[in-house]
Amino acid sequence: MKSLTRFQKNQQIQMNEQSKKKKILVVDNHPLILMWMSELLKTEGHTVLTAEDGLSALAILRNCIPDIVFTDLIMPNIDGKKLCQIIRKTPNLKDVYIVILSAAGAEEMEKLTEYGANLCIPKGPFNKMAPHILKVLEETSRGTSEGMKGIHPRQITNEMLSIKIHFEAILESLPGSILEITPDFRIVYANPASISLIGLPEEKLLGSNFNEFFEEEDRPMVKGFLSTSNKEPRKIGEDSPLMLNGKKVLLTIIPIQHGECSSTIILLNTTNEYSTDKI
Amino acid sequence: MNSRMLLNCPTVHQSVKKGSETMNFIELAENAELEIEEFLELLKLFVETCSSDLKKLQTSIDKGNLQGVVESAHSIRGAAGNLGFDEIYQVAKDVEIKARQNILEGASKAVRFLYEELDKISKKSANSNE
Repeated sequence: MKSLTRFQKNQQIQMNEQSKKKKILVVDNHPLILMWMSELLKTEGHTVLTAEDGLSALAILRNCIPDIVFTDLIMPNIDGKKLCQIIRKTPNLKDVYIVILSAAGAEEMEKLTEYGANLCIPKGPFNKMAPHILKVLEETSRGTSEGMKGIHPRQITNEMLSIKIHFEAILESLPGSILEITPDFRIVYANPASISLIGLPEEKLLGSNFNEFFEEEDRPMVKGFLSTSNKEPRKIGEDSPLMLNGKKVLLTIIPIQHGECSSTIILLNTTNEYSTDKI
Repeated sequence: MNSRMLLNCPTVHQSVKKGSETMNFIELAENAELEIEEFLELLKLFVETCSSDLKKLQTSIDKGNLQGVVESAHSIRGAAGNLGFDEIYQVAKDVEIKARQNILEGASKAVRFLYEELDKISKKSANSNE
């Protein structure tokens, strides 16, 4: 076999080095983690993108396919669990390696593979986190995750997460259609009834502009109602129902003020027997 | 300011009380396996975010908003844990755990303590960056 020239060898080394450099998305609502992770990963020569929550991450993922996503679990708007599920359901993102960075409890960590994450690294002192993160980069470059199985969560129980899951389970089981949107109308939560009503899979629904699901002529009116600074619950479509996915609907808007301002919207199919009073 | 200059800067060596032991920024940076410049940069951000979280924490305590208390204490706890401020970590963690049990007793006192600690860190950090 013909041996390689020095130039060819150098070229090969350069190509190998290049292939080790990754595009990495870091998602966390704490700026300290974003800054530290960015510094750590950039020092290793990787390209780093950051997002402060799942919603911002989805906006980035529309135009960019990272090699690795490091994500927090508990975040406003779309959380880490939902982000993982969306990534796994999106065909062009299915090969993205997902690592959850969380202080969640061991029991919850066990479920992370159900969410679609490849690995979980416990949050803690930076010097304890760094070796795990660097090991992920090393192992993914080799194309194997062997050797990372030893990374286990630490023992902190996370009641915050279990409470969230509890309320999500309640919302999921409600027969009424419930959506939560941000002040710029992006959908950050949709229960199964609303997913079925709008007729789009959850991974496409989340992050979408809610107003765009209405007929073009109704959009200015819906936008006006959603934008109002009125903090009282209100209804749209009582006099003449709005059309949504070929169905006549009545919207009840309930503004909620909690950190980032969001509105919870209850959609009601007018042919449905349930009313907002019964929910 | 480079590392050598910082090492010669007396304010960097002044200690912030950390439980029964005393700690200085050089030691904290070394423990976190960070260059001192990186540590000070992160410290500046820590002071900003922690200060904002403390305001949210006090407002949530005043309004009896337990979820707000849990969230802001959780944020302070996480960041303090990342940088090795063990005492702030422990106090914030206690506030968080008690709030989850619907207890706000002692929370305002904890906030005062956290403000004092943050103030010390902030002053020392400002001196270190001069």
